[in-house]
Amino acid sequence: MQYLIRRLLWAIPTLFAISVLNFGLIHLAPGGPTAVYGTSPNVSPKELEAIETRLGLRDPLPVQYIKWLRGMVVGDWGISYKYMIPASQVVLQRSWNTLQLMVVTLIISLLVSVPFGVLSATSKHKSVQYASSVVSMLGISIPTFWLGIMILLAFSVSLRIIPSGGMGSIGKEFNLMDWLHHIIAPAIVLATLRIAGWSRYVRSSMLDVMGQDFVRTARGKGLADSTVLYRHQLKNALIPLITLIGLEAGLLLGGAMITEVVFSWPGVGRLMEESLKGRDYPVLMGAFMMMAVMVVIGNMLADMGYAAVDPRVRLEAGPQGT
Amino acid sequence: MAQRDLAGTLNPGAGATGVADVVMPPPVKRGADFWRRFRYNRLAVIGLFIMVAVTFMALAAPILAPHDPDEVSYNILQPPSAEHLLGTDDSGRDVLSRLIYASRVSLAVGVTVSLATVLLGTAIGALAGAYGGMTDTWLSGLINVMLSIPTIPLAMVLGAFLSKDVIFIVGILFIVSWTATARIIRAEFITLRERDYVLAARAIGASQARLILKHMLPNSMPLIIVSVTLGVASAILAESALSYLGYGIQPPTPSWGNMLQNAQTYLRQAPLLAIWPGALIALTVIGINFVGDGLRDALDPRLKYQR
Amino acid sequence: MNKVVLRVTIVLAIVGLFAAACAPAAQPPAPAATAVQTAPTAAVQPTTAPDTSATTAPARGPKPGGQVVVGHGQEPDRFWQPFSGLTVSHELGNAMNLPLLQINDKLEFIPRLLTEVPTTENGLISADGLSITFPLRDDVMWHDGEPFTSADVKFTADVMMMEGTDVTGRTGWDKIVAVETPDEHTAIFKFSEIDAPFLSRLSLVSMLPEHILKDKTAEEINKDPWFRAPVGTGPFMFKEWVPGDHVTLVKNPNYFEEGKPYLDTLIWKIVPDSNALVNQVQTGDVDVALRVSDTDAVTVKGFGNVGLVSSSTVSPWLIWVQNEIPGLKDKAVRQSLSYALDRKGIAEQLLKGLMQPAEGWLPSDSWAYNPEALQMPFDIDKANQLLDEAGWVKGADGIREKDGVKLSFKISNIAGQQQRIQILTQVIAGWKKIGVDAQIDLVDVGTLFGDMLPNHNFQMAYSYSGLTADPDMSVMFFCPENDPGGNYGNYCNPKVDEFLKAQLGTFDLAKRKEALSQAQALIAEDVPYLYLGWRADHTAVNNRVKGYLPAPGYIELWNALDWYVEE
Repeated sequence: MQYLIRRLLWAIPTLFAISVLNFGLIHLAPGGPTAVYGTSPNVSPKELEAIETRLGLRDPLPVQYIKWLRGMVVGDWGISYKYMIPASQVVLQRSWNTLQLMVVTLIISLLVSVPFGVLSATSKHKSVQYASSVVSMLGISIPTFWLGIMILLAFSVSLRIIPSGGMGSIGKEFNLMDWLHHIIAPAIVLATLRIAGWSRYVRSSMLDVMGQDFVRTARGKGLADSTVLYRHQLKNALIPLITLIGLEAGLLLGGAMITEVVFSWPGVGRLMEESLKGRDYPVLMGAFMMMAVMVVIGNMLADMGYAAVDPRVRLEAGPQGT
Repeated sequence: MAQRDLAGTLNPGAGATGVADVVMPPPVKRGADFWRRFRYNRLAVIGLFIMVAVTFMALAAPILAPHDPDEVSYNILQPPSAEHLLGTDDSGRDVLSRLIYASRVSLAVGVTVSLATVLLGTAIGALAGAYGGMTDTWLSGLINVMLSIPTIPLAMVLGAFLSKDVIFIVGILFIVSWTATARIIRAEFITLRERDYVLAARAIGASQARLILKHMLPNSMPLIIVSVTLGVASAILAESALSYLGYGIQPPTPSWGNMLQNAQTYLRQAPLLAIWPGALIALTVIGINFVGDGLRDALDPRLKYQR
Repeated sequence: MNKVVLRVTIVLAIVGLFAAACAPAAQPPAPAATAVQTAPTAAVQPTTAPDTSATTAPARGPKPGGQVVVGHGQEPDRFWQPFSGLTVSHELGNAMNLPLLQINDKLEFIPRLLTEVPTTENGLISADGLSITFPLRDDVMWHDGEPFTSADVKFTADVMMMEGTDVTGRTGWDKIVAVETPDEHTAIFKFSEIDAPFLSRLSLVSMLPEHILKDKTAEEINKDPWFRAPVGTGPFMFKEWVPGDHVTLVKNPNYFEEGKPYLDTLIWKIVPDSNALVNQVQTGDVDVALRVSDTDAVTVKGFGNVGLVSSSTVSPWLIWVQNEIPGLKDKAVRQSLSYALDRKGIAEQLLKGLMQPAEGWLPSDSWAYNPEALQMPFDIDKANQLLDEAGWVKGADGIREKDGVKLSFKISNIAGQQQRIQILTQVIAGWKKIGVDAQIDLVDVGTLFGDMLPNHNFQMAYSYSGLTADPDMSVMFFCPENDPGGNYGNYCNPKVDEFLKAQLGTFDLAKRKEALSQAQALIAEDVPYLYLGWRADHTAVNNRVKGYLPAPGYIELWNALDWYVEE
């Protein structure tokens, strides 16, 4: 508990550092929010200058940062330059869409990668090991956009069994089946990449744990193979997986951009890409800070996960193990 | 229960592990023994063969390539023919020659980023995980901060001041990807820290540096190897994502990543354009992973009795 | 002379502009590969659509009801043209809320909220050109039932010039000295000086409802929810906007044209990936896909259930050139770059006729086109000779140099659009033959349009120039001290400025033509920019949708009220 409080307190300076860094980066990037008018020949430099002045973009960067920070502290993320509504509203709505996609993705990834990894580590058959290696490697070598388009061509255009994109049928009320129907393909595409990596880590940890003393001891004591597998090996093999899920929680928001584009999923990854192109600073900062908060929380949860899985883990161990 | 094995686990990295491994080869023969074990794994040998072949392709590109990879013509998007074995791309350039030349950039990016990432990631992760306490708090803070840096704005800012060459790409990918390895290794070290042999070694007065280098690090080798092998694939693919946004390898220099990216436009008209670089990436990644698996199995003596 | 019919002049100008873009003489022989085809009289003929009966007489006639889904990659921002730089906002803004007049498929002005389009002939444009009278329809209602009156017109003009709003594109409006409203259905604009392209500008500004937005400050107007859910005068009403997904418009039952619109629902679906958009066109999830790329147009042509309507625009692809930097400062260098540009080869062989070559900002049969202006056909020898004469000699690396300046340049180009890279790769290969080195520098949209172009911070840059129905493009050529928005290349030739100003200040067609011809001759010789070809506009239309007409004047939904579906 004390550990938790300390970690939470530490999160404040961490987030502060992240905000300074992010703010600097996106404001130093060449171009500005008036880029969207650049294609029209009839817009004069004076008009663009006036807009920049009104948005406060002509102030010195530290001044802009302090203004932003002051707002952020009281929950005011600023007004989106593009939509002229609060940035929080824009970001949260899109984040919710991405969250749905990511939760389904994580469930699929876990359901597939853990058995896959265990199988390839414990199977007595060489062929199973080989096959699982090759399949998982293919998964990580296929670029997301390619897999996405191919799935759409095969199952949407040719077979017509999945919709061609979007979160739901336009004009219909929300219903669960419709939602599942729409979410399944992008979630599978997103899961493919994770399954590949995760099952490798599971396999490796399984092999590692299998060689360890307590497992051999347990076996030596005559415990059944399946008991050993589940009670001892798997639990310990989960540690890298917990880390990966913790990482995923943090990167959740930005990680799905290409899939969101291919499947017309109105998520936050796409919003971030558009906002980046249009230099919509308040939306960008909001989204990046949300990402940072989730990184910190994800990390914290992962740490607590280690202790939960392996009671020997003491998070506050000092240099001498005290 | 673990106490009984204490003696046997004192120095796991050097090979003397559990009671079951009674017959350990003497250290002198270790190299030969390693190769024997590696060779035993047929997939690892295939992987090694693939890696040698791809490396040879990269080194001998000027000899192997049938055409100048930058020779432009109006003879575009041609299917495979005798003149162009894999056809031509959207600028009439020979796809085979471009694939061969692209292996240079892609391998360089993949391998460099992956190794650099794992080196730094392991170092930081090991320190944080092994020391814990304030060291961990600070390093975890650093990892969190780095993890929260958005890649594309970073590339934009740096790209405005630096030339977007291979080193630039490697740098960007390195900055944003070492953190994941660091966190995985940190987690591993947090659990290793409490293992019996580490506790025992600590009890008999081993220094922290010795604990890390001799006890914990060798035991996390399997994870590190997986990180390296997975890292190669993700670096090669990340380069293609960067080129989608303009911060990857700049045209006309080919890389598997940007060839794949560019083929996206012609998925309907010339689907093969995406297949070739994709297949090469897959092949390379599979090769590296097989070698990785072989290495981890050969390096881990405890596994022997299972076979 | 000043009795020249304005409407006719503009129409002539515009039709000329447009038709020239598709000059039949330049057609490559292979008809299958030719998407841009034009009949000499009408602007555009659909090429592959087996059944686009709407352009001819429909057999059964329009049936009311039904839904059409329009697919496009963009997410809207605010539905009022001066507040937005996005096509999607302009399109939907027009469908929900009308400007006084619009431009049709033949590039003619058609009255929307007016009973008549002002011309010098009908006297609504005064003899001195300084006063334009707009006779408003008396049967127009806002979607909330309030009548549309001249007060709304005046209010819109006021907002256009209000300090502190996000309005862009005030050019022309800044010459209005007063808007008089003698009665509810007449608005008179008074100008300080003649602005010949004003009606064309007016067609891109929808009217604002005074009764909803009056008495608000500039800051309040910027943030007003009306701009996200407009209560307009258009044939369609706003229903919902699901961010990132779609915008739904429904029929305005009280629309002033009897029986229109035919459709009950018009959905704008946001499909960001072009491959996905093509898929959705094929599956029928999207009925009308706007502005599909040349590459995708080829794919769409193969679909049985879909017709492709292709037209050439008056918006040229060009390589912006920084006229003030060493090397490119030399006119001979710019000329030789132009000679070494294989426009014809790129248009016909690389793009299979989907693009028509361009040498200047006016197409060859525009009324304002000057055939005497210098032409620069592909000629490597000529280019080499020019560079030799100017003293640029090849160094050891094969790149020409003079006084320590190398002819080596970066062409900045938007990332993620392969066709642009494809074209530039050919351009660069051509230049290599004359000892000029060029590299593509990929940048993101925000960098190119937000920094490099407006700040003149580039060597060369590839994009297309904006589209206007009027032949006036002076903002690209006025000397920097005259504060143009579009002269990214710092080009300056005071003589050109004189001619350009002269043509802006008169409604007299002959005078405008004379001045524009002079300007063209000078510009063609100076080569401030390297023009490549005319941008083509492709629309995929499902066969069930009837009544679609192309929109060379930019707004594709201009006749959405005439669309109907036939199952």
